[in-house]
Amino acid sequence: MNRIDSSPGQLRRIATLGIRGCLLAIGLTLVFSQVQRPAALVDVWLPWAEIGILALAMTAVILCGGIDLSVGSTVALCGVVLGITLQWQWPLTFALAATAGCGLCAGAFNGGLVAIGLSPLVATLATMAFYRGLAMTLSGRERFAGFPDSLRSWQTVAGIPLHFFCFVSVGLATWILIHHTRLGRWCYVIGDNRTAARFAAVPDRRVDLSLYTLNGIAAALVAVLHAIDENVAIPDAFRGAELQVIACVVVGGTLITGGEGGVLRTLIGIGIVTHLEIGLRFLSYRFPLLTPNSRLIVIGLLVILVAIWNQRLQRGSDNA
Amino acid sequence: MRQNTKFTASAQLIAVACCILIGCSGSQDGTLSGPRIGMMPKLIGIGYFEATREGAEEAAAELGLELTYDGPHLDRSEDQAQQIGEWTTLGLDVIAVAPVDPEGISEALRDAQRAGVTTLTWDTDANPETSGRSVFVNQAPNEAIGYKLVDVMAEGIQAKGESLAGNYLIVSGSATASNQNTWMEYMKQRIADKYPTMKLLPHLTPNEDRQRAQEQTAEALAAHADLKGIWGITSVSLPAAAKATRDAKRADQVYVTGLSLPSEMREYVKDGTVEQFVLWNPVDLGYLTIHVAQRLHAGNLQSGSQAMGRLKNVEVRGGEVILGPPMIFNRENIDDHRF
Repeated sequence: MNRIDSSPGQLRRIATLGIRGCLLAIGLTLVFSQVQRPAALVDVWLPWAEIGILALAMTAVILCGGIDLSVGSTVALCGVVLGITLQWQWPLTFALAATAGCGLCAGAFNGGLVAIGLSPLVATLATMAFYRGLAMTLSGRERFAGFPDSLRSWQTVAGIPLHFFCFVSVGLATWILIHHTRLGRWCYVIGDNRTAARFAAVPDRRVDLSLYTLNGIAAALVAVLHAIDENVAIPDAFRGAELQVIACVVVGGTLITGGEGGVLRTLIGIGIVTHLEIGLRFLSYRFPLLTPNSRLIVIGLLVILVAIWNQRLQRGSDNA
Repeated sequence: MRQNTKFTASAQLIAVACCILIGCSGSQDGTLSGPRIGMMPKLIGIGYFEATREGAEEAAAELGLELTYDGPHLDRSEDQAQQIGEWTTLGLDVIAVAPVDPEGISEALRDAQRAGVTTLTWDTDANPETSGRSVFVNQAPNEAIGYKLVDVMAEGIQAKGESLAGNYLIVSGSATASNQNTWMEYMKQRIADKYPTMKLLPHLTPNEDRQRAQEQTAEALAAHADLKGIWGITSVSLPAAAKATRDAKRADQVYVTGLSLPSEMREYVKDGTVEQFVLWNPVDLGYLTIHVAQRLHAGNLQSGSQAMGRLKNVEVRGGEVILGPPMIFNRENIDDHRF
């Protein structure tokens, strides 16, 4: 097990937290030192709240040793379903239910493939293409624009963006799920050693199925939020979003191989990736040398450094 | 010992943070007086948009403006929307954008306008109603481009003394790009009106990715032995289509043409794979966009035909600024242009 009780382990943890704290501080200062129209910052954060919701749901999947590469395609597919059903003049609640159902089915299909023994990487790589293809075909490659006001009026609740409430609720829900339920404990056990978990009578296939399904539902939620915020659903949307989502989880300190990590770490990871990305883009406006391409270098290096650090931490705790 | 390295690492990070902060505050007070303009292509890193950047920078230097030219590295609409928000937050005065999707950035542009930013589109338009953009800087009338693409193909094939009847393929860019889709509409219209024997296969959308464009064209060539002609209607898809055709040794049976940059096409025009193709001057398009942005912000953009900087005949009418008619490039004039 990875529980660290020895004092060098504790110190290592504190150092790790310190480094994450510094990265977050750098990101935040980069952003806030350059803001000229603070009110507009909310619009900058909203898309990252969507990535954040996906990262929170992904944390559980990664914890139990899985991964979901199809999450971006699932969001696009759910957006298309929302667009089509509203175009068919379905009542809003039915359209929303269909969207949620689409996310649920897409997630459950992923979970089913993994449960029957496919590698999560291969299974979700395949469904990434499959769901994108479905979204493109169902929509005829057309975007859906102009959602009804009954949906759009949810953009803000009591003056605060709906994204905020959803992000907080998903954060709370995943925190309770991962850290305070039996399903959550099973995640760690399976991620740590699947064979051992099986011998301990942990129903690993059912856990897989439920986690991927929840991930699909989170994707449907993001699709609805995106439609509300941008007033458009594009079959081509969220291409490559899975990389940002996984980066948030990994930079936060959850092991990509599973078994170690948590929701709080992912929250920190979301904060770091979001503000470093925004901050670097802000900087590239001041310093032409910092081109969009060199920004990729910075983000790539960051993930490599964090991965090395995590690996060392892992080795250290194994020895302890 | 180990602990020390960790604290050193943390200290280094803090030091980096301080340096960056000092760097930011140092460069905060710019000396340029004009409006601060942000210009966003569909994506960065392809030759066509590098050429427009060159023209934009030329105009910015001429007018003494602060220009930032940046965009997503994939043709993703949501990245564009995000970046518009960031530019608004940074306090830019004018945002000129070439939208990947005509609806995808409407809300972002509206938010920017509410914060006091002047917005315009260039190269390809956003939905004028939902986005509220001030003007669209258009390279050439869409109708002229669509018709020209079809005419070039038809005349090229007829000049070889062959009949037009057969299958034709369009290799486009992004599935929802407004300019490419509009050109294809006009191409279909022209084919129906003038060359009804030309039959169009379903078009391809390789997402402005050269590798994918080449693979998809190669597949289409393999699947249709009777393919008569291919249009590559983006600067990326035409050279890719030309390469696929040459590699398949079908250049003598398949007439390849479309839209691209002379610099991208030189090789294929010289070896005869492509006889002629269509384009406007992208450097001039970038140059014009900055001039229009500056005039819009100053509130003195007038209708009618006029000179803007070194461009003599710019047409401004009905929410559009038009650069001029499209040009034809062939073996004779391909070396005359540096873009």
